[in-house]
Amino acid sequence: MGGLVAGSFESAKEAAAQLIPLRNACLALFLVTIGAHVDPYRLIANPLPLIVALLLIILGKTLIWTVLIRLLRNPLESTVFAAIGLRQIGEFSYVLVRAAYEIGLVEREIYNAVLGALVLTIPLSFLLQNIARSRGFLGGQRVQPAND
Amino acid sequence: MNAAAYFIPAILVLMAALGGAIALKLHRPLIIGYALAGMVLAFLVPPFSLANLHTLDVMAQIEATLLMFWAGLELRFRLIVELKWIAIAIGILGTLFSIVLGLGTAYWLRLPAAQGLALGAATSLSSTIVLSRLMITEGDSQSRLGKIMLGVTSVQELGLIPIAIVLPSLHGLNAMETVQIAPVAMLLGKEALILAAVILLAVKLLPRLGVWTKRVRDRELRVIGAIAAAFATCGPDPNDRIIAAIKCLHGRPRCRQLRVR
Repeated sequence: MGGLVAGSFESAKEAAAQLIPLRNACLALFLVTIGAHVDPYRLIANPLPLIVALLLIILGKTLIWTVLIRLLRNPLESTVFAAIGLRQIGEFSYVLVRAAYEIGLVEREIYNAVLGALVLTIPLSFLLQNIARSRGFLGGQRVQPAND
Repeated sequence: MNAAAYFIPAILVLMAALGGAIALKLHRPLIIGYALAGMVLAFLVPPFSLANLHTLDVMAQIEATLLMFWAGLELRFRLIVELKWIAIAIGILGTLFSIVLGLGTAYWLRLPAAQGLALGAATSLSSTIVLSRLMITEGDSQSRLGKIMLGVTSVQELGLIPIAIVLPSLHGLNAMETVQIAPVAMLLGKEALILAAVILLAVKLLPRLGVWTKRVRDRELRVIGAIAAAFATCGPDPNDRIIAAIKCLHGRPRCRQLRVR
């Protein structure tokens, strides 16, 4: 909500554009911190929660977004690209799962698995995006501009 | 002060730099280097993630708060309006389907339903900041599909609030207790009112104030003024209300924070 309020100022938008490197640095630190936060030995000892979380994100979300965006009659290639872009999880998921863990709604295994999935799915999205982009799925080639 | 408070951030920044440098050398996206650097750290120094968990937790919260602030800053109300029902419908449907998928998975694995719902809700939300980084060219974000994607994540950002409020009420599903609907409905109502007030403030009133503040010639002062207005509206921790809302339902002391804002 704070960002929402600040964003309504024209000057803050200018500043935000200039602060993009700082935002990216913050994302980098967030990823390293979450990566260090994950207990890898617990994940190795019981990999099922991580596998489930990864399947939910990689297969489940990709399928959901592909179907929903395809319903809007977008070309299949750009639809798949959009699904790849939307299926990652980030800071909002961390806040939610942490709150759920704090009140005992989820077990340590699930919490750990979601953090592990967060750290793994973001780089995976970038890798797949690079492949998709190199094949011309986005970047103005196959996606129609809004004013067309 | 605890030495870990200095030591751990320094190690994390160092690891980020190292991971980024290796990714750059291998011609891979920097973000891959950052993610792997954290995991390598957790593997190499297991006690790092145990003994210093509190410092890591605080750091992760600060970083998540900053990222959420940025996400709010980049929230595209006009885009949601421009796309009409598309972003709202697709955003809500996508989130709901993910939650149902989490619930179905929990049923299949014989996990408690509440865990499935929490897992589905946590995996349903996409990050606007990550999406912004994925869209590196002007054509990406200006294309119709790019706008839909950004609109969807904007809807999801707003959707975090009701999800976070409803989620703890489902705790009873684990213990076979009766789910209390009335307090949840009251909290949802309060949050809806606060959100509506903030949206009104952000869309209608503050842009007018922004025109007035343009007269302030010093750019730095203008930016500080905007950020001060933001913090004055929601407090120093944007996700505090969500945590407070969840704790409130479980009778924890931070409940009073909900009343004032």
